[in-house]
Amino acid sequence: MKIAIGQIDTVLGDVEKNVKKLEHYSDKAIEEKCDLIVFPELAACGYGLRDLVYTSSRTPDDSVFLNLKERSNYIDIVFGFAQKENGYFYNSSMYLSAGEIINIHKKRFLPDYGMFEEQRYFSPGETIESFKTKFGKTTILICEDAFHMSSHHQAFRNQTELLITLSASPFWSDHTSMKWEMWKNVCRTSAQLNGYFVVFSNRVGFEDGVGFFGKSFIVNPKGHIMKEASFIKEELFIGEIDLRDIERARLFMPIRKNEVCDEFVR
Amino acid sequence: MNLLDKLKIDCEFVATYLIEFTRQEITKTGITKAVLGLSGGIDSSVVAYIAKEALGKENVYGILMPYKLSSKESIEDALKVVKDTGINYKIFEITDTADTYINKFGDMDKLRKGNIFARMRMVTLFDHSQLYKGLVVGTSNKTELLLGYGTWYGDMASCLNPIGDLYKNQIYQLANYFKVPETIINKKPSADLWVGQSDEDELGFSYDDADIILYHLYDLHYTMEEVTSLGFRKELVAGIAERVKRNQFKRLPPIIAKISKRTINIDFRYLRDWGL
Repeated sequence: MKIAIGQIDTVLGDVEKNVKKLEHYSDKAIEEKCDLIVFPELAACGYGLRDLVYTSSRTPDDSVFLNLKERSNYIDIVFGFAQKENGYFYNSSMYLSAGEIINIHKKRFLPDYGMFEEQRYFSPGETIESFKTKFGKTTILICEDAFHMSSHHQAFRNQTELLITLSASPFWSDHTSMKWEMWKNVCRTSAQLNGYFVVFSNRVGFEDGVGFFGKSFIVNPKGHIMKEASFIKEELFIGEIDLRDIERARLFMPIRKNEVCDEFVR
Repeated sequence: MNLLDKLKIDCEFVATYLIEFTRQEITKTGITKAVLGLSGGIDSSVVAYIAKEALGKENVYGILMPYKLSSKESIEDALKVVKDTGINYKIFEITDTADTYINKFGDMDKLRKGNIFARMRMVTLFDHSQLYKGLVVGTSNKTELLLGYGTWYGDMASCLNPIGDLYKNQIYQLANYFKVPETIINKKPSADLWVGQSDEDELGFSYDDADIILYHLYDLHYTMEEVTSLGFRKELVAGIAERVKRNQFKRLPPIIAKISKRTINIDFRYLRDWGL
């Protein structure tokens, strides 16, 4: 199976323009015969929305998404958007397949420390759920969700086979590490311990000096990064996965067989 | 571990990042050119190399703005950067305009004059910004921004600043990476606002010490006592922390009296890249 990552830049607060770009990249991925394209967090509107949340949020049935839905007859599409619901706002993702919305995930953990102010504007989602796709059981995390062990535990409990992480992760570094090392550690460990594929889709571009570093990647169920996209450049990244690798990894490390955490949680 | 080692940056990634920052943050506004003041010092030299890589040498304008008392070496060094990068340049003396203003006062202290030179240069740069249809790229580093060692709406004024999150020591690392002419790297840092001026003499401490202290206080969240225990005088650490606090106003736009329910920058909150 071929998985594409649309490692894109966005126009801050211009949903129509951004969705046009999502359509364009989806078309390119269809041409490349990909089965899925994954876009970053808030790909439909940009990240640093602040008060633009009020005008850039949409309901999932908004007509702006119709063309994307139509394209999902040819390729599964997942992207981040600011969701409007009953006067409240969510940092959400939409998974489209066969012309339908098959999952909406509302970001569960909203960062409000350092440069982040998501919790000021968005309401948190309540669950980390899994749903069936052509890749098996699929779980979506949005950026900060992936920094909480409980999210990975939930994905494990749900018997996830494909973990998709949408991100708008800003670059920073110090003498001990580069930002992306943290993402690699998290995603590789999650993949290795839970025996599933992880797709990490990060955006690029700058918003008022904050640069999103890209370097999207796919990790196989043994915890190896199969392929990695470029640093801060927009690109359509394509990786090929063999779903049988999930079973092969679990034969090699059958972690779940001896797991007692469910009893422990009770 | 040498304390300065904590300031080590991966120059290749940082340079790539700053070049992309400069290119994208300028071109997304629809503008393709940059204007910057070239002093012959290390900061503006590094910015010239970044801007050239970002936009191409034909789209960058380095403006040399000497005053009659500016050192000859400053001009020579700035011209070395022009020659090495191939960017456009212009020498625009600020002596006449600055002196016309200064001569209206019988007596003027060094600080006021220094501010006038810095603001004359700001006027010149922003006028050339309109003339050449290019954005003014700032050249203030993190050390001087934190210390407030600059003129508000003078050298601190710009449209965007690629090096404002880099300490002086890190500017030197980038200068070596870009192979900035050695005379610029080796000379003592100076604002060159009066004859024989030296930044470190005027500040009363070295840039290396300031960088280490600032980095530990603000990037690593060390307490003043913890920074002192690294081997610095208590008065030096406290003095630097005081400077940072006292100069916070220079790092922000003017404050606005709140009257309405939506006040600019208080609860009317948008990034500058709104719609870009």
